[in-house]
Amino acid sequence: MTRHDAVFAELATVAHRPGAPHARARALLTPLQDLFGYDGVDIALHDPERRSHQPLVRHGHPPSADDLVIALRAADGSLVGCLALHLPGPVPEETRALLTTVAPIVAHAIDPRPLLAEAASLITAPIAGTVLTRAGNTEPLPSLPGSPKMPGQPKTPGPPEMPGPREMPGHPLLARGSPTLTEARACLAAGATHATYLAAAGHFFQVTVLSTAHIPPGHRIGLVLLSAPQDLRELTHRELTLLGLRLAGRRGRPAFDSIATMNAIRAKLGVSSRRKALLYAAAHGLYLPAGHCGDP
Amino acid sequence: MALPELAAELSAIGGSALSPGDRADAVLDLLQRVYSFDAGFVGLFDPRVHRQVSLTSRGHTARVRHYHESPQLIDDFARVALLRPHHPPVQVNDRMPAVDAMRGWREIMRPEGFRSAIGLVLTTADGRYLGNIGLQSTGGKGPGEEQVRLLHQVSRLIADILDPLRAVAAVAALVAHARAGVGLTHAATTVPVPGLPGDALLAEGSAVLRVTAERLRGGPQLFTFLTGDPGGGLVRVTALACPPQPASDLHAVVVLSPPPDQHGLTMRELEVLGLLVDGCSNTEIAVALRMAPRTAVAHLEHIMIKLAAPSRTFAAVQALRRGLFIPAELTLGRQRAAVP
Repeated sequence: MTRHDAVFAELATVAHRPGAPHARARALLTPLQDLFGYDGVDIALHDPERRSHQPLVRHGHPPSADDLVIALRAADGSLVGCLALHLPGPVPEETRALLTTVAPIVAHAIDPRPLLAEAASLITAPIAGTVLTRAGNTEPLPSLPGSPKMPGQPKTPGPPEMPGPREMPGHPLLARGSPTLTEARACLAAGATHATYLAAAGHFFQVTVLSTAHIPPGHRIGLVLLSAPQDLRELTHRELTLLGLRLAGRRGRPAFDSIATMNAIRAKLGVSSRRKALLYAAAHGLYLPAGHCGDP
Repeated sequence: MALPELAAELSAIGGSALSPGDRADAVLDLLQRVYSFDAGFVGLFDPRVHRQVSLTSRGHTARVRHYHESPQLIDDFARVALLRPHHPPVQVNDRMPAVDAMRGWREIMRPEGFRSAIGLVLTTADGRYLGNIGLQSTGGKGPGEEQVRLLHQVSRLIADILDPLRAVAAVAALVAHARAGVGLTHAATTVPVPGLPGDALLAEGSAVLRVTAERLRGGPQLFTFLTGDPGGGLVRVTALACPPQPASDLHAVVVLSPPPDQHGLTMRELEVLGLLVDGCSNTEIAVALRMAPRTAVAHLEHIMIKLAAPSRTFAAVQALRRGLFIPAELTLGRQRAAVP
């Protein structure tokens, strides 16, 4: 094992390198070559919704029936992808054992989920989050400490919470088919790279949606994160609802009441027209969605 | 505990949304299984104040914790090259030559009952000195040769998972086909994003970075727009505001990528959209872009057709979310249109 120690260190370093999975997969080829002396390699990511593998890196000898193939599984046992090596000559038992040891490191290097979690950590104090998939399902997001914090309570910079299960907590607002997720899905379907709006469940939550559709294997279309709202500018529930209606192309009723409310909103946001107030609310996510991403 | 096993455990910590402090705690838990220490700390070096910011500390009194964030620690560490990137672990104990020169050890750590310590340098894959881990023991022996070797090997992995720029690189990787990127600090300076080149459009003081900083200040957390590139084409700019992190002055990550499908929108129409997303009226748009009101209306009609938008509000919201506009500041120069 000592002979391989330096290569393991190299493999692990590559697997930890920040950035995109395909870049890490490419960087794995050199240490894998050092370990196995392959003349062909194929690393692919598993897309559970298309029930297929999406090639990530391919090099040398094309895939063939006598390849040494191993499933790449994440620490939680889920299938991430597969690694196929074409080796010259017969494969000794020792090599198979080595491959088993290496597989979890390769799995980590190409697993796109940690990337999503790390990106999520840049959203101010996410309370809960989920991943939307193309087929209409959700996936948990790896990570996040502690139990969900109740929003509305002042955030105290107290001692760090105990590390909990390494999976971001879900939330009833993020249940499959919830209005929050329906809106997120509609925004992503309309080609949005990102969207932000509010959700109400006793308290207000800020919802942040990020498109992730281009990250292989491609079935995870977006991230939806809940955090405590930043500054609601003293807008009331009624005003936030009206903003959502107006952004969905609908008029509040009665119309004169709606205009008066929009004027009050305009004053609170400190902008010079009702239209500017509406777009300000859209840009800053200060509304409760009423429709499908502004679709009337 | 062997390296592959350690690497797998560190992977789980790295690929999580744990806060920096929680990550550091999880790292100490793991190191405890390599070498049984009595007390330990993880600190990141903050070059702005030239001292360490503690991510976590365990088994230490307030006095020791204070020392860890003091200039004295930096002096002491400098003596034994613990501030130097890639430097191997340093063992501190009474057998060490010139140990008396290390004031913090003599005056603070020893009186607390520690007889040996090992200091690790955290160096990122791209060679930046990030900070240190110190593990202290009340026994005089300290870790064995094999343990030191293992600690040295994992310190490189640990540096990568504690790197504040790690999440930045993750965000950059979220942007499709990112071709350049920078981190923008609150002081309006830039830092490189690991794995991405910079770009003239993202130079310190550039118009793109000015717009980004201004729009993100107290505003949305994410912002996407288009701007002209020197080749006469368009480039997409994606900016994400970063929450405060220890030992980091990062304000935002700004990434350049190829423009999205423009739905046939012309340069002029993208400029009109820039004013539209700010909520400008027809008159305001016409005045700002020095065109007849009739022309502004015609542009708007074309935009609504191209975006299949039933209303101007709908068109504006779509443009905002898809980043299909050129911000007014970039079109009009420094003096902005009549906004707000």
